[in-house]
Amino acid sequence: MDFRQQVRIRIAGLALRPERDTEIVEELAQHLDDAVNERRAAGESLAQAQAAALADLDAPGELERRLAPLEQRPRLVLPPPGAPSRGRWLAAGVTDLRHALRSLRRAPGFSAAVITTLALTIGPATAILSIGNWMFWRPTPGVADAGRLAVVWLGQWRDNGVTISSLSYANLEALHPRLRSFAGFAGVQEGSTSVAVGRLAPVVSGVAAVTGNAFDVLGLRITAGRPIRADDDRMPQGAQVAVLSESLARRAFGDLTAALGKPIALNGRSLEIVGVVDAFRGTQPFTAIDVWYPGATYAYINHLAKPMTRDSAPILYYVARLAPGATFESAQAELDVVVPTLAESDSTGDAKFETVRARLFPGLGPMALQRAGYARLLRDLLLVCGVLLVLGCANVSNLLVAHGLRTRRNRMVRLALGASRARLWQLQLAEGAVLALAGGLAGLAIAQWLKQLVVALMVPGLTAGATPDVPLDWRVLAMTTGVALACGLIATILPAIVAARAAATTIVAGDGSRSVTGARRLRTALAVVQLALSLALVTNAAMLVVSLRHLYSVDLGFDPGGVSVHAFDPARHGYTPELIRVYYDGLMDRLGQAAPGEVALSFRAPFGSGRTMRVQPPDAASTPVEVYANAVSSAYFDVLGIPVRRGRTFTPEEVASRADVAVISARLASRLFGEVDPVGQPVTLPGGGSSPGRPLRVVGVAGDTQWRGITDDPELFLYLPFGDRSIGIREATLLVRSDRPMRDVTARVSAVAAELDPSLPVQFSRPLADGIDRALSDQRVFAWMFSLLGILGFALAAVGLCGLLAQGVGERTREFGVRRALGSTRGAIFALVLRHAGWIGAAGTMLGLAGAYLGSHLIESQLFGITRVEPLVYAAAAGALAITVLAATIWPARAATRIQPTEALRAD
Amino acid sequence: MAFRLPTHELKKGSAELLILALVEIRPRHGYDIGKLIRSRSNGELAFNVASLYPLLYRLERRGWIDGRWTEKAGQRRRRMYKLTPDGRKVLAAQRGGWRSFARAVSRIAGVEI
Repeated sequence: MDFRQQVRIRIAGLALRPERDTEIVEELAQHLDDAVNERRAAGESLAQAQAAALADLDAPGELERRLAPLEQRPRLVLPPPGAPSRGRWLAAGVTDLRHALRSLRRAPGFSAAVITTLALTIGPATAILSIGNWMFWRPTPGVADAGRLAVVWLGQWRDNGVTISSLSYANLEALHPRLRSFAGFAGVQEGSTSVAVGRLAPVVSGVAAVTGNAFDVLGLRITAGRPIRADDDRMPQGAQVAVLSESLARRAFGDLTAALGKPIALNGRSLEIVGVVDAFRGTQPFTAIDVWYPGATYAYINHLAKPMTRDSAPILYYVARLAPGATFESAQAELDVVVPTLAESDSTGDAKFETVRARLFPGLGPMALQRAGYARLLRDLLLVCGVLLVLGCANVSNLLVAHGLRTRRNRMVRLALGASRARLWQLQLAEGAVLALAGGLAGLAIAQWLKQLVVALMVPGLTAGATPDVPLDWRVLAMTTGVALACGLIATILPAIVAARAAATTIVAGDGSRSVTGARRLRTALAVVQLALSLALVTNAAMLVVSLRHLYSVDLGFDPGGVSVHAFDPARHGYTPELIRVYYDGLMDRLGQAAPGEVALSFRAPFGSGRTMRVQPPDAASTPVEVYANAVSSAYFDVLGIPVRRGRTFTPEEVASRADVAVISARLASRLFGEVDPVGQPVTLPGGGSSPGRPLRVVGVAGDTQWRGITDDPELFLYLPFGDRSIGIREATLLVRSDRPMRDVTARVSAVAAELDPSLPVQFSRPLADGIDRALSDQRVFAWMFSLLGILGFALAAVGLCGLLAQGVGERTREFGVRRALGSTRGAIFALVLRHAGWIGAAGTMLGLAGAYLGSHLIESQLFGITRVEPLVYAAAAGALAITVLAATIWPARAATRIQPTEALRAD
Repeated sequence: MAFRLPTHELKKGSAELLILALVEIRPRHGYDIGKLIRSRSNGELAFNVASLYPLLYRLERRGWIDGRWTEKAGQRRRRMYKLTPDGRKVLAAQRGGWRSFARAVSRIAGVEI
């Protein structure tokens, strides 16, 4: 007799752990065997002995009753993996984390898909957040209590712009005692200049001229030496001293104190380094400043021929610190009252202050005048990134639902083993958090690259040496972590609810691969939302791209193709006006001889800043007209391809003699002369105050050109011969039209410049068309970002849909098999899956087109030559969506056609 | 005439002491323990399988005895129980308790031990 079996029967009801069960059976059976052997030895028959041994086991149930309280625990304490040991949350957290990592490692494809999706959605958001942080949210490094600082601009403010004015040193002196809302009011003129210092080769670096109180007003900390002080900044000749940034001091000398007392050359002018400033790199994010020097030293550094006086105003940009108790509003109110008094003040009496007003912009940051534009741009981009985040979350949610269904059996076992629902939630949240953080980390890597791209699009034409690095500081990291965790949480909650329901409604023995209706419905809804959002994005992106194409094909009135701009700065290297003229004549001789009619000199080039002047119409009674003025050589119109409508352009003789002649643009001609032929007519440049005006004779009418923007009306233009005395010769650009590559042209110009004066480098060379990119930077940023994010959105939606359909096919294996068995063709099965996808696609399209229409409000201001309701764009985007849906359907649908009836039988 | 302990409780209370005492000197297996109790009590005390083993498991769970599977050449492997340090303390305490209990009973009931 096998006593094992006898024992086993008697303890079967206990349902012990298998190994414990075996142990008890073995031990008791052995006991019984021993008892039988003993009785046999004592002479009993086998049957007698066995009966006696069995009697010893007592009645069935007796053993079980006694063992039950011992061996069977009231609730199996066997913990689900990750159960907290005695409620220590830290230990629980660590085990949760380990569990999450283990379970994600077990599904590498799923984890990779989630992390990639999160990275692709969190990356752009982080890039935009880091730019926002850099421009607006972080306090300017090195500045004390930046919240009390404001930027002040003075000028004549109009609805469509401003003519900036500046304060002379006398103005500032007169202003100081009258400003009670300000603890300080300083000038900080930031720009770039060629710098040679220590062991560094000369480079163009960020340099600022500051008033003597600027370091105090900004509250800068000096790490070595001393700051620039009030006594350094005395007109007419400031002290020849400079303060360096820590970064430059370290690069140039290795050690901060080693820099003190050493010379530094700005534009070849030598200054003594007296101090090093801590962390501060200027008041604006776009230029990193390395050197500060007194404003009164401006004339020396820039080789100005005329010495400066107290009435000189080398500084345009003012930084003010509020007095205790003052607000930005009270300070603005005070400026409104005080600035006009400069007009009647005895010492400074300056008529311009009758119309010049100061405007205060709270906080440092990007150029105050463009701040609102940047803020709007950032807000819109953040909104788009938000949409992408929702998209990504939907996708991750979808993936998690699918993953949750696959791992349902695992969870049900845990529940059966006594894990509480709360624990299951915790485990899922831990998984979500791990995924989110991994995705966030990968997103940071993407952001690192993307942020510089966006900045380059947003702020094109930054000087090469001074292109700033957008920092990924703790604020950005905190924001990214927040965004990532929020994504993880949102994406986890829905699937967790579904999972909890699934676990509750299914028993352990159930089929873990079956979906649950609720989960299916949710996943379908998510797929629809994804398609809709990505369609909305792509539709808007298409509108922007079409607009951009329209903008690039706008007739500018000139042809920028093949034209390059080269700038020189002989004046800042100490050239006198006579020498400058010789210099430019030399340039034109050498370059123009080789290619007559292809090289021109011009005071300013298109897309640069304009110089405005006032022109008196022939009728002396009418008010002067404000026009853009440019001084150009005779080839200018040929080089730029500006047509001459009437008369002629300047003759070389007129340019050489700086004759009192003018060419005017067509719109200016009709404004001044109406129907009358302007050629030969006089125009007058009004003199200031009582001085008589300067008469000019119109010799020609040129076509209208777009100077500043592309979508504005063409400016009214007055052209004067190059070197004209009303404009001067200090500034000039060389315009070259050539079929040759830009590189060759630049090399040629540099070579010629070096022949003339090797110490005077070309300031910059760039294609004129770059100016169009700059003028269209907003539109370019939008078109790029929308397209990038839209394509990303399509890809995400396609992956999500493909997964959903594949899962659906998996669940319907039996159905398809039966259909095949009943004679359905492969084509019919394919159509079945396609129809399912079609419904989702149709729903997504309807929602998406509505979303696109709503979203186009956002970009309406960026649209050009296209309306918000361009049917073709909507149709094209919907077509693209249809193709995407089709592409996402092919694989699952083909899988469905391959199902054999036999497989269907095996499926269950 | 065989004399059996009158109450179940008395037997149960003493059973732990008996087992602990039997494994005090050397480890023993369950059958051995059951046989020794019967033989040393001259058949007065006997445990059947259904009560002996649950009792052993209880003592083991309390940590008073420790059961290990051991193998000897030519024999079936057996689960040997030995007294743990905790069990040794319990045994000492129970012995003391029984001694005074037995004395008290004998004094009152006039029974010679």
